[in-house]
Amino acid sequence: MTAVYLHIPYCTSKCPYCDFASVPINDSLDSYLRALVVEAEQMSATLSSVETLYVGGGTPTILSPGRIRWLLEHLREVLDISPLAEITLEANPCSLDAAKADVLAATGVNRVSLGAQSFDDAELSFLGRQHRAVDVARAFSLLRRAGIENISVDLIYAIPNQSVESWRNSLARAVEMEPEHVSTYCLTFEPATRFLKLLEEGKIKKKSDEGELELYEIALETLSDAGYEHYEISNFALPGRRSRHNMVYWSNEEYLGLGASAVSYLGGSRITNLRGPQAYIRAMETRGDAVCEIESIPPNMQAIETIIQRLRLKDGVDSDSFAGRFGISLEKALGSSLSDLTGLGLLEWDGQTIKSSAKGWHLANEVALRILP
Amino acid sequence: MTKDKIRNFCIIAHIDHGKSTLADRILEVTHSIPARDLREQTLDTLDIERERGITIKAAAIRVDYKASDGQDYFLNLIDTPGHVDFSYEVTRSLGACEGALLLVDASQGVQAQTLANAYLASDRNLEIIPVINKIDLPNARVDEVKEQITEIIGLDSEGVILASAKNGIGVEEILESIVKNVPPPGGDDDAPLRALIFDSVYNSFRGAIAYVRVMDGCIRPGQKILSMAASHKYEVEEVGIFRLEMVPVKELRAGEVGYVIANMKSIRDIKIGDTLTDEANPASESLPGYKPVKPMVFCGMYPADPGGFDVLRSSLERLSLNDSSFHYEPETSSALGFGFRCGFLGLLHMEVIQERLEREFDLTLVTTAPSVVFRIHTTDGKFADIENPSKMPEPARIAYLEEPYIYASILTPPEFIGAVCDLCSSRRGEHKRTHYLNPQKVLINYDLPLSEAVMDFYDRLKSVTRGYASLDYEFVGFRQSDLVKLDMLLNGSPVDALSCIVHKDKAYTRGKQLAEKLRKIIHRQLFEVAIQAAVGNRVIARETIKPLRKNVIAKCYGGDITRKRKLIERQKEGKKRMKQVGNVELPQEAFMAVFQIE
Repeated sequence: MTAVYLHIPYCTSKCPYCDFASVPINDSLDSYLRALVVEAEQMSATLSSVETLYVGGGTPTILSPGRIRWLLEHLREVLDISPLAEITLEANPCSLDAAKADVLAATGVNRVSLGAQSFDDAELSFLGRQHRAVDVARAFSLLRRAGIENISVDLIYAIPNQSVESWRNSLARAVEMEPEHVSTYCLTFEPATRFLKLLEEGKIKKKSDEGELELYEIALETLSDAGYEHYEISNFALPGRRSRHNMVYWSNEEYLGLGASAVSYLGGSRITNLRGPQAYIRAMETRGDAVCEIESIPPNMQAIETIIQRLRLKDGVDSDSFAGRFGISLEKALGSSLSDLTGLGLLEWDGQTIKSSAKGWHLANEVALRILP
Repeated sequence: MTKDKIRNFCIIAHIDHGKSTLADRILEVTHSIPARDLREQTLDTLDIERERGITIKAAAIRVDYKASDGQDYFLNLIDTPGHVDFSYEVTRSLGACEGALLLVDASQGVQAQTLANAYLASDRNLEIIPVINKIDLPNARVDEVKEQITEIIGLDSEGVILASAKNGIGVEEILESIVKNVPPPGGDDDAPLRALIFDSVYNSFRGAIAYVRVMDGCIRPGQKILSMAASHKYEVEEVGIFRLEMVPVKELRAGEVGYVIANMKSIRDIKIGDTLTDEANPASESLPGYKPVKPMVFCGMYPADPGGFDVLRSSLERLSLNDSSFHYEPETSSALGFGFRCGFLGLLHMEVIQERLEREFDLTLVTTAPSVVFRIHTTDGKFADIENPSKMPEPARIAYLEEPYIYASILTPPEFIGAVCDLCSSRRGEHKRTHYLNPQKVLINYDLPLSEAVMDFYDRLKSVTRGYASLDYEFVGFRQSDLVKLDMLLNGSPVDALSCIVHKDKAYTRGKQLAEKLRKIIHRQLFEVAIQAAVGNRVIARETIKPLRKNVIAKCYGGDITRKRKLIERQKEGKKRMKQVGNVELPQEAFMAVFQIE
């Protein structure tokens, strides 16, 4: 299983909550795409057949149909992409048109993650999004018409001033479109974002934990009623439609990250590329790689990280596959924290599998805190 | 050198009036220190003193001065601590001198400690030379301050010297005035030895070193001596005088100031204010005024990390080597584990020690709210002084309680009389006297419970008088008081370190404030936390902290895993600094919360 992530760090504008690496679109774009292909080619020797490819951003759909085609065709030349691979691309409703939708389908993109975020226009504009609710429905049908059969819709909740009604409405509108997958993200205030600054200045107000949980519960109820399986803290899928690519992250398996700020996890090391697109291009052109940090994760920490990641999943950690992978039993790896956490009602342990309890899922950091050495 | 060429003097002043700077300037003018060695405030040897601009340990130095009469003089300058916590040390230093420079800040004028120190000096018949310092500041009010010196302190305005220690103005004049006005020491070289101990230091090579002023007789190496109050016997190894370093001499004679090294193991053996005499030919009477120094303010100090206990113990040992007024003994708290109960002369003393521990020994401390000694009279007719609220006996065994009182002298401009009196009466003060010293200065005296004075009284006083009032106090004894023990309970179990003893009338308000404060300080836990304030079995206030229900990272993809783990590792570090009380995690601030309430 090989998973490849590819980062397109360009946007038309920066959303005030976003802390991903992104810059306004500029004329470095073509050099960037060339550098990406070079990096992919260099790394291809170490890879077996690519099973999942995920093009994220930034805003990948900011690329013209021609550039999307160029990029995907060149990637296919340098990487051994399996015919059965899941190929996902993140799409922004307002930068998606019929031509792009068609090019996606034509170049083998078989899954699109659509950044809907909300179906309330006031919330969208508060979030700094340039699209409106109608654009989401339009983009969604364009994708369907082009033949994309696997679509995920992203939603954000706990937006300041968001009402229970508007959240119910956004969920209902999303479900109405019948996507295969839904992600619901609680709005967080990340360092160096405008929202955090506004929050600190008292200009916007964060919802209370109780307020956030109320909205979360509504999502659980609405989406499970509609047949979606709640398989990860923030993710829901129809049967068989989990994100194969993201499952790699949550299982703490290896992945290759290409592009500015991308992270790879290979051979027990987490390798991070330079964050700025210009720096990335320059490094690729001059020295042939863009690595800025390599962190070796010691084997015991690999095992702990795996447990912490897997506990984000409904499935939890299976003791046999854990022992097979790390050569140590799950109970031994957890030590006394296992009984502490089951005692606190945060974890459930049936002798075979450890899972987060409903309570423990919302408190995943508290669980991780007690698991980390 | 004959006695008539010796002058022993000290500098007394309210805090921040420029004492240490003047001392430096005197050293500079008399060429006692090569200019390259002259750092600001040379006599203060501790970093904290330098930083806070206060003098904690008294120090001494001998300077040579050629006066305008062409004669050479020895001037022994004895530096004195400048804060109310250290007034006993001031008194001892005064006892070693014949004269005192009374330093008054030209913009601030006479303050409470100026007055208190001036009274102490004139009680001992010291020749007082008034000096108005900082005359070159833009807001200097020289004439007004001169008037205050005459009207309030009762000194002749003729002798007032105008100076700016910072810029070296008036320093020669001060030295001349010392030579001219301060009487040379008296004393009889042939009488039995009497030497006043006015300070002590610990040197890891030499042991404890006593700073002395010889009043009568002579002290020299080989002599067998006796400390009259402590009744310790020693053989003198070395005597000497203070230059920038200690310089051994053959003998110290009546009138001289110097040091004595005599195989004294610890400075606990050396009682400040004690008299050294000759063992074979003892003086019939010791020098007047010795009293044992007792710590009045206490707090618990615990290592934030339980593994730090041994480091804390050895650090306390080392600190106490040089500070005999600081006491500590091991204590165990169910909330905080193993630590020490420490006793201090006052609040400033406590803060200074705390800071030195954290800085010099790189310790992170959890400090409990300061408390005072309470005297408990039990039904069996006995009494005991307890310094730890958690050691209070069963209510049934208590006949009555007493608490220490201070006599506070507050000097304020008249427009703040109302504010000062309101503050004092809100602190259970009993008004004693309001005395108009002159149209600008009023001296207000209150009897105040010490426990109320340790509760940020000084800060409040400063704030209600916009910084104009100053405070001096002395301990006046124990008084019966209607006190109760206020317990704070977390999920039903009392947190010993948060208990405090308060006046009955204040228990309800304090309990309510404390519970509210704790609610804000304690983080949400995985379960509900009930905070209760209780007197005996009666709960008088309650607050609830709802359980933590959400602490999760919404998005965790490939680029987030390391970042997320680091975030959680940081949270874990923070958690380590918490103290576990039962199943509740308490941040360190909680233990100071008792104190910080308005």
